[in-house]
Amino acid sequence: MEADVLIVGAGPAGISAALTAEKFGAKVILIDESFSPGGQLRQQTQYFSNLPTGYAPDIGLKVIETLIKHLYASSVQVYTNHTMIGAYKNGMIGVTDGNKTFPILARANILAPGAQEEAKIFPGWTLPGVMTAGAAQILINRESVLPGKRAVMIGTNNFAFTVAKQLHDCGVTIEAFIEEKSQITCSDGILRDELKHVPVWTESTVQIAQGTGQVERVSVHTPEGRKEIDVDLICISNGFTPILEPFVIMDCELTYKKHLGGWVPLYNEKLQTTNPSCFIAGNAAGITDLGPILLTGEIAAISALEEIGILNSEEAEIERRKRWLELEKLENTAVCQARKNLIASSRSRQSPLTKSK
Amino acid sequence: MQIHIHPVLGEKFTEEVTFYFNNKPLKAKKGQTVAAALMANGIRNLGTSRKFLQPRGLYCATGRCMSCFVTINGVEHVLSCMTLVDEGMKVFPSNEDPDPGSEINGS
Amino acid sequence: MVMNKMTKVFDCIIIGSGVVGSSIAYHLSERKKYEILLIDKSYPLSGTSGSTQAWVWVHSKTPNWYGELSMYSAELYAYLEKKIGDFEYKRTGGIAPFYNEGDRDKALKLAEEQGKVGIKIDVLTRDEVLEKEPAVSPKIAGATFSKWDGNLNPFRLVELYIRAAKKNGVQCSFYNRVTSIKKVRGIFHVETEQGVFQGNNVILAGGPWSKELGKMLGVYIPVRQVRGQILITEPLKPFLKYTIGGVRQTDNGEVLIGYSKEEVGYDRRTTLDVMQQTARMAIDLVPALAKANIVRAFSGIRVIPEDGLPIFGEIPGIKGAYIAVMHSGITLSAIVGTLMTELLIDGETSLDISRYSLKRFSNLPNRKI
Repeated sequence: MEADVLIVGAGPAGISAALTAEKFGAKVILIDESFSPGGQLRQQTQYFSNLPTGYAPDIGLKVIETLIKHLYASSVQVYTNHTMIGAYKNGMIGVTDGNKTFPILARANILAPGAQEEAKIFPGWTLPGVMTAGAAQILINRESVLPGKRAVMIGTNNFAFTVAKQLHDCGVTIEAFIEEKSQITCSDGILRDELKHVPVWTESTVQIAQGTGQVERVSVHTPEGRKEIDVDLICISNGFTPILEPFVIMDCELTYKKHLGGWVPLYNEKLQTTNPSCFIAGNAAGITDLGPILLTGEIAAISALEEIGILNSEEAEIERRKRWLELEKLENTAVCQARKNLIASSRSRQSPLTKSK
Repeated sequence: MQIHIHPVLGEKFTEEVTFYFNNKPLKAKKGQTVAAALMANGIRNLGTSRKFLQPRGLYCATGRCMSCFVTINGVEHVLSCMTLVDEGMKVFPSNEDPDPGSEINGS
Repeated sequence: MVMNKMTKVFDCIIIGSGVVGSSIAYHLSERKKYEILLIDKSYPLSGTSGSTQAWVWVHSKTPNWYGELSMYSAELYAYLEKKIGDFEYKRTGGIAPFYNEGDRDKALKLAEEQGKVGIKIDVLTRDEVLEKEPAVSPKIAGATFSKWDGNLNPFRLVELYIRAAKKNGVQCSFYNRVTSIKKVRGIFHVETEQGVFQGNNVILAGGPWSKELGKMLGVYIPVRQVRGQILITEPLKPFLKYTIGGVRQTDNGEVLIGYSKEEVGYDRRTTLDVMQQTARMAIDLVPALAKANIVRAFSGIRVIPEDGLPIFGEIPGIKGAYIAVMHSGITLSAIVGTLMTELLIDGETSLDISRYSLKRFSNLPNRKI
């Protein structure tokens, strides 16, 4: 298979990149290991208003539904159930459908694998019924299945509150939030307010989760002493970290940026990694809000097309700058700072970014 | 438990399928993953850990943690969170390492 | 590391903490005579020793005196394990299959030659191989077999060497690249990213990086870098008993598979071309592997001396400078650590090691350093 641009990951960043590249005239292949496109936006029922121009505010899964509709109406070739598993000697990405492994010859690649949730480890964390907040959200909103009836949420970040609220709306009793720090970290006042009936145990940690065959109760160490409650669901919301395997396969250099989720591929203002044929977009770049995620897809696509000569540098620069300006308005400060930091550190290197061997 | 009427999405799935877990017939909705279909039937214990023989279930639901392995139609170590349930599918828990000598192992 | 770098003079500075360097550090430290410093540009197991199938392979090493050296090392591992701890050394026995009946003569010749130094080799028929190891494909014609071959866990081995060495007082400086080596009034000044260290003796144990280290002393080290790519299956029920051409099953159940040899410098990428070819070759030999999931691939940069044989001993012309570099570091570390210790501390070795000297390359045409 051949294309101008291969995009790995059909979440919001990948689809946005695919549609942008296609709009500028590129032949695009988009692959995803899941059975359907949409990535983690498929189960977001919360409302997003902070979106780029051209997007109507809506709940997450409607935003992605619209994008997917455009995707299937476009000339982009979409392959679900296809996983990137390696690279060939000549730099081609190798993909498998579970039976056959084959190369996709593209002149540029955009890697948008997203992020994964960080684990939180305590005795009993491997019991059935202990899961990431994201898993619980997938179950209720994508799969229409209740993961439990009585739950605790470990963590009080925005995502923890978002999922707790959605679980609550589906009839799950949220018994408590368990937070290591001395106060709630969720910055969304409305969300906090909606769940103000749920006790928040700060400066608290899970001692042990127990049960026969699955979780039945949890013991929590709190400043007031040990608390034990019967639960059948423990959700862990401990933040996200970029998925790195595709970048490691493509020999892209990594760097550590705490506010971008930890280890993250090094990239420049073109969202080009240290492998000149590979561009990065979305959560994998440490970008967290939906608006900016969509815009990084567009920027990566523009840069990829510049790299292969479909766009000239002047056009590309204009298009990119427009989007970076918009992105900055939508981005939260900590991420924005860390991202600028990372791009600045890439600037001090030779251009184009190439890995010194 | 199935959510029949979702607070935001209403009724999401309509078509029903029958699949088997440990040879027992179970109902699921077409479009659900195997892991979710099992959970909807109250089955959360999907396998046994290889070293300490502890129960394992769905953890990340995104195909990364490998905690939800099951055997599907004779193929061992299939991610139940990434596989859609299908009519007549035969699912077994993942209780031991795959046996390369065994005939039930898939291709 | 807190020490007065400028005034302290170590008895010995070892550069490279792979399996060879850390074995030498451990064996030297056992004598309790030397103050030893072990330096590595990265951390132990970050290089070749951490990316190997870790065979302790004896029977087909030729000429037979090289096989003999390998056999002694295998012998030592059994005792070493009692001293430094369990590194999962298993003398499984090794099967080296051949596919053409015409190769049987070669096999018999090998058995005869190795037999002269005490390495007993059986030349097996196909049925005898299949009886020993039923998972092997009936496509083979036969195999050579020896009880001497086996494998170990390289992570444990290197870690245990270093732990024991540290306990004996060896100092370590990791994540510290050596940038130059100078000899000033009989003392080696080893310049590193973290300052200068002084030593009466210096041992180059840089594996594939030996050439660069040699340059610092003005010596050409005739080695090549060869990339090997290895596939790992998910843990499987035990079904392979022996170490077989390119394939072995670990204690934990994973099967390690590797055949490839590529000269690509220090490039440690894996490529699907080689991964697919490796998988095909493994399935050809052990058909049941077709059912196994591959969970990971990694590559290691092996070092191969130009004549294939180990190089160790004093560097000709530079008193106090030593080298130890070889392809089969995992097989040989125990014996090489022992012999290098004898050489440095006693001034003589229990085995004649002259044929392993770098000197054998001196009649090669002039090399550019």
